[in-house]
Formats: sequence, structure tokens, C-alpha cells
Amino acid sequence: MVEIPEGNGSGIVWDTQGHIVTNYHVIGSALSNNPAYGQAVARVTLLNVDGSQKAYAAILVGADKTKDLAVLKIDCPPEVLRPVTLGQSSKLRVGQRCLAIGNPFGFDHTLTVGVISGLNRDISTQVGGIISGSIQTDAAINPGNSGGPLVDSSGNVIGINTAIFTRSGTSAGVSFAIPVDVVAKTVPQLIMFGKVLRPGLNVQLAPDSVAKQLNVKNGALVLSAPETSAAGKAGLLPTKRGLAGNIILGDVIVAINNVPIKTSLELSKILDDYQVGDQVFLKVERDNNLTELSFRLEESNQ
Amino acid sequence: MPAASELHSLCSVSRLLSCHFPEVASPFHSFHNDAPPRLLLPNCFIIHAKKSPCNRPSLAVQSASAARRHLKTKHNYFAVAAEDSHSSSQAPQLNYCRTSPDLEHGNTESDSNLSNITRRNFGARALSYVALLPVTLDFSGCCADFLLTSYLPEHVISVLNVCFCTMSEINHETYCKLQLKILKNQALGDPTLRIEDVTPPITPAGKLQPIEERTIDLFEKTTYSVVNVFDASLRPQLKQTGMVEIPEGNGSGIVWDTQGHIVTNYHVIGSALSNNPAYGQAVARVTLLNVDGSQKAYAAILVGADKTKDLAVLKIDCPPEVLRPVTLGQSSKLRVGQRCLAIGNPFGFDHTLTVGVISGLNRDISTQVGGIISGSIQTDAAINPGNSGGPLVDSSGNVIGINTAIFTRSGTSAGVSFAIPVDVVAKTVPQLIMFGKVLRPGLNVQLAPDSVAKQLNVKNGALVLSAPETSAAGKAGLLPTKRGLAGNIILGDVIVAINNVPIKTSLELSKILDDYQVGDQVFLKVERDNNLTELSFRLEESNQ
Repeated sequence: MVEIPEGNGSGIVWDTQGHIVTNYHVIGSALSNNPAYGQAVARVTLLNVDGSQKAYAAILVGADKTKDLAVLKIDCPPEVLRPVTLGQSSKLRVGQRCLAIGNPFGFDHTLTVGVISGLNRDISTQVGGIISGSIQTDAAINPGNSGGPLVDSSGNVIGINTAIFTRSGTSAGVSFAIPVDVVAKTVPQLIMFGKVLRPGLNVQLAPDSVAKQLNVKNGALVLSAPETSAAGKAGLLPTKRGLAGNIILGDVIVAINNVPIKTSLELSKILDDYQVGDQVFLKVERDNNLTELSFRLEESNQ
Repeated sequence: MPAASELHSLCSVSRLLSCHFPEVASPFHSFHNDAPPRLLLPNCFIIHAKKSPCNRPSLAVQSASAARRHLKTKHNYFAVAAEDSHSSSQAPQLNYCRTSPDLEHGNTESDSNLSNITRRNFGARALSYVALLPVTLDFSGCCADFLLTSYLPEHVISVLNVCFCTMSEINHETYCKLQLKILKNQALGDPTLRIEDVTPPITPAGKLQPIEERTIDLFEKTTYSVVNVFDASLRPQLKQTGMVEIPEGNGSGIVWDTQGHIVTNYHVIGSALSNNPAYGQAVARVTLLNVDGSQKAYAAILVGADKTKDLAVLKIDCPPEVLRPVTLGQSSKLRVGQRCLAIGNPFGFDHTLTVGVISGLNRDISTQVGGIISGSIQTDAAINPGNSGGPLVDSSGNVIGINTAIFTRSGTSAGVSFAIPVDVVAKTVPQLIMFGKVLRPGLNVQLAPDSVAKQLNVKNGALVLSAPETSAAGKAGLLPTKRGLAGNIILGDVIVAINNVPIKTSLELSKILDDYQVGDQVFLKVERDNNLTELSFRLEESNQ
């Protein structure tokens, strides 16, 4: 996949207060300068019904790197805003028609049409997060379409176009969108709090490739469990080096609240449905024995 | 909804804040020694304590559960106590108001009672608590020492006039590390708003259009007939979506019949085939999708392969009831503009549906393995590496082609892709199953490529380069091209017609031979030394 520096993208009008939802990576350059709340980070151009375009300075309201979403706010009269209607991404079926509107290569308000090619794809985003359950489509999505809506045949937004799989940097007919169910959970938090309150174990888990090499076939291997984290305080053991230089494996998490997990990716997917403060019971494998640990989830420090 | 009196207090608080305490910490500030800390609590404003001895902002938060434990009480709300270390003569101020009626016990303990509780249990260094419910805390003139946790209370707090200056070094460090959080609802500016107020309504999924239903049904019917074929001789790469190059050993295939025959492209398993496997040797791993959604992998053995037509047939050993064979259509009746669907595994994304139209018909395409597909179907459905061997389906659900090649400069789809027409597949695959190879008739002579023939000034017909005695054509008297004694080139026979069908190029000749069988009698009209001669013989099996 080729990285195209974003900077020109699309967004959707979320409500009549002037909130605009787009991808994190579309304004990634401005965000990497750590702007303060209320600082103008982008220029948003609105198309009026009379055909004229007007540009507004957009301030940052909130951003979430993990889900690759960001919320901006523009100051404009509510009557010119046409908020989208949201659909449900849980009811989608492969073969459904979908429309994408965006600004590929700077051509504003371009319509491309395709079908839903696949569902429930796990995609890693440009900014390092993973979108699970993303919608795959063969509509022509190119750099500049990011942040724009994916719409079903009833006119409801079913996703936000985010990533394409390509070798040339342009559309190959394989593109992915964040499902609207994820967007509908994330954006209100970004508007209210400026960030997403995500629960996390706050321990370092081994990537699946490393875990395989260390012969951990089932479960998520804990690499480090700092004392400051709730998991560390509850007694989760990290991976250490023995005196002879050998690796002493730490705890391997095999189930969380009685739901078995096979990989660290599954674990992060499951944690998505939890809230900060929820009690969790981790079943861990330690020296070929099963132990159980329990603690409250705290906010993820990532 | 807060009761009227509480609302009044909140409003007054807000007014107070805006008039007297304009400095508000930003949630995006990072913590430096003198800068305001990064604070993220819902609807909390950190204000410089103008009335306190020093000018630092401060805040107190403690988890409600820990507070309950310490106080050994079941009360749902707690007062905040602060020790005044600047003027010990003054008792700590403890002002609070409840802004929500939902209290567990509904009691209205007085200020003094609560301060007694705190003093009694913890002495001089009071822990501070925050109520579970929206509350306003006024620490006018007080300084405090705080214990902080990272547990985020889910309620609204407004804090005024708390001074932080007495924090010891240790607590200061702890404070930095423990991520004091105050989230601010500045975007809407209204601290009583909840998440539900900023969540737009979700519209339930509407009715789908008939054409969409059609496409969905077609996909759901056909997808179980499409399999994932992985060349067994290739080292499997990490199946990471994103950066990893998927080698052409990963392709698609179709379930041909209930005996477990799988049809795919030759080049999908080309690597295994180049090792010259014997019949019955496992050459690929085929993954089948069951109707219940589970995937199962089988070892596939080679049944037959034809390089010229870029087709191969594998066989898997599985119960017939899990197999869903395809229905074949007719590629002779196709028309440009017809809708077509392709199902495959582009870039490893299994059972991907892409849709397009038939862009063109009767295209002659040279394949990766050196053969030529004549009469192929051109489509603009997005076909990428990994789609090879998968079906091209018409709007009735019949297979009209096998996706084989794409025309591209980037290696990925450009909207120009080609499929072997199903009529060719229907003739080839039964032979592959019966004989393991295709009994193709051939002249078994070497014809000059069209470019070479042009250079040798042969403008019309197929030039014979060599005609070995072992071939029927050679035995019938076909003359090859030779070098003369002086080193000049003496042209051999130029075939200008076969069975009275004139041919202009060697490509045309091979297309015509496609329709013949081994053993058919052919009459070749050849040009020799500016004369026309006729030769006749029976076609034998091609040795290619």
C-alpha cells in the first residue's frame, strides 16, 4: 500500500451546530502540531443549495487516532447546514448498492458508485489503528475521498470511506469504510469530551507474530505489566529474562469474562464493547496452570 | 433533569465562572510546572483561585468506590473537605450543592456533619471526595492536599477556587502520572448535556431496490461455489491486511461438480506445476466456505492442466453435500453491456464481490503462461491479483467465464480485465478430467511468428519454419525453410488455406485448428515457389 500524504479530503455535516466529521489522517498534519482546543485546523468548504461554495475556518473539537476519526466545528448559520442521516451498518449485505461522494484528487463532490464487496474486514489504518468490521466496496475511492460518506440506496450513511488497498496509490476497486455503528458511538464522545474514553488493560501485549515465535499458540502474551496499571496491580506477570538469558514467558491471557480469546487482536476487539470502570475477570495461563485475576478497567493510556 | 433550585445554583455557578474566572484550562494542554495541568473531567472548569493565597489552579478527585471504602458508608455522595494550611485559624470551607435529585438515601446532611466525618476519620490530612452526582464545590480561600486516581467518575463537576500549592513533591509526581482527567464540553458550552443529546438519530435500514436484491441473492447463491486456491509449493506469507505482497499463488477457483473437482487457472498453481507433479500429488490447498459460514481447508490433488488455455483441474476429497457446483451459461450469447459479477479473493480478501458490465467480446489475450485466449470476455468489474480462477457470472447466476488476466501498469485493476469464455472451459475441463490433458490437434510443425514472417516478406499465410519427418504434415510433404549454399534463406511452404478457409497469419491457423479434432482430414493449400500446391493428411495430437 502506498502512503499518499493526505491534506485534501472530505467530511460530512453531522448536525445543525456545525460539527463536521472526517478522518483523523485527513487533518493529521495539523493534529501532529498538537493544536489547542479552539484552534483552527482546517478549512471547510460548504456547498450551498444555490450552488455557491463558501469556506469556513474549522476548529478542532475532538480526534481519535485509533478509530481514525476527527470532529471539527464551523461557525455558520444553521440553515445552510444539511446534516446526514445515519443508517445501520449491522444490517448490511454483500451485493447492496453503495454510493460514495468525496473529493478525489481535488475534484469536489464526485460521485462514484459500486456494491458492497465484503463485510467485517479488519484493516490497519494509515495512523496505526485497526478498524475491525469495516465495509469493503468496489466503488472508485481515491486519495481525497477519505472522510467522505458511503451511502446506501436509501440515502443513509453506512460508513466513512477511510482506506484503499492499492499498489499504485489510486483505486484498484478495493476500498474500506468505517462502519456507521462505530462512528455513531465515537463521534458523540468526541463532541462531548474531545476524545474517546476507551478502556484498556494498559499492559503491553505481544504482537501475534512475536507470540507465535515464542510458541504461544493460544491467547495473548503479556510483555510488560507496569505497576501503575490496574492489571499490574492485580498481579498480571510480565515476560522476563532469566539469569541465564533465557526468556521467561509472562502470563498468557486466554479468556476475559469467560469469553475465550486466541489472539491479542481478538482481545482488543472485545475490549471495544466494555466501558471504563467495568469489572473484568481474566483467565490467564501461568506455568501451565490456569489462574484468574480480577480488576476494574481503567482508561487506556494510548 | 435537575430540580429548579439546583438548576438555579448551576446557572449561578456558570455566571460566576464566566464573570470572574475567565482562565480556563484547555484539555489539550500538557502538564508543565507552571502551566495549567491537562484536565479532563466532564464539564469541569479549572479556575485560578483568585481568593486563595497562591495562584495555582487545582482540583480534587477520588474514586467514589474508594471513598466509600474509606468512609465505610453507603452514602451516595460525599462532601469535599480541605485543609487550610495557610491560615490554620480558619475552618475549612465546605460549600456544596446537589444538582440532581437522585440520591441513594435522599438525606440532607448538613455541612458540619460531613466535615465532622472527614475530620474524624482522617485527621489533618483530609481526603477529598467528589459526589457521584453533579455538584459544585467551593473552596474559597482553602488549600488542599489531594489523593488522585485515574478512575473517571461519570458525572458533572464544577470546581471553584481550589488551591493546589500545598501539594508535596510526591503527590505532585503522582498527580502527573495518574492522569487527572477533566473533560470539557466546550463545544456545546452547556454542562448539563449528556451523550444522548449529541447523538443523532439512527435511521433503520430501508427497503432495498429490486436490482440490489437481485445482486445480493446472486452473491449469496454463488459464493459457496467459489473457493480459495493456495499453491502448496509457495511459502505462506503473513496474512496481514495492508502491507504484505500477496504472491500469485493465492487465487480463486470454482466447484465444478459433486465429485470434488475444482477448476482454476493454470498460473494460480503454476509454481507447483513447474515441479512436474505426478497425478495424485497434492499441489494446492483449497478452502471451502460452508453454508454455515465456516471455512474448511482441503488438500487438492492435480487432475489435469492445460497451459495453452491457462486452465487446471484439481480434486478435493470431501463429502458431496458440502459442495455447491456452479451452473454454466453460454458465452456465445453474450452481449456487450450485460451486467456481470465476479467473486474471488483479491489481495487475499476472500469472497469479494465486484460488479461491472461486459466491456467487450472476442478479445485475443496472451496469458501469463504463454498461451493465447481467443474470444475472451472483457469486463470492467474490479479484478485484482487473487481473482484469477474465479467465476464471472451473469445476472441469472450462470458462470459465463473464468477471470484470468488483467491489463494494467500498476499490477492492480484498471477496469480492464479478461475472462476465459465458458464455452472454452466447457470443452477443456471434461478432457482434463478424463485424460489429464487436452487432446489438441496440431500440425506439429514449427510456424514462423508473424513478426518474423513479415521480415521475411511473407505477407499472407503461415510460413513453415521446420516440418520434421515424424509429423504427419512432414510426411505429407510440407517443406521447411532452409539455408542455401550461399547462406541465403530459402523460404519453406506458406500455408494460405486450410480446408478452403483462407488464413492470413499463424494465429488464425491455430484458432481454426481449435475447432478440429484429432484424426480429422485436412487439405492444406500452400504457396511454394510462387505456385499453389495442395497437401492432405490426418491431424494428429499436438505435441505441445
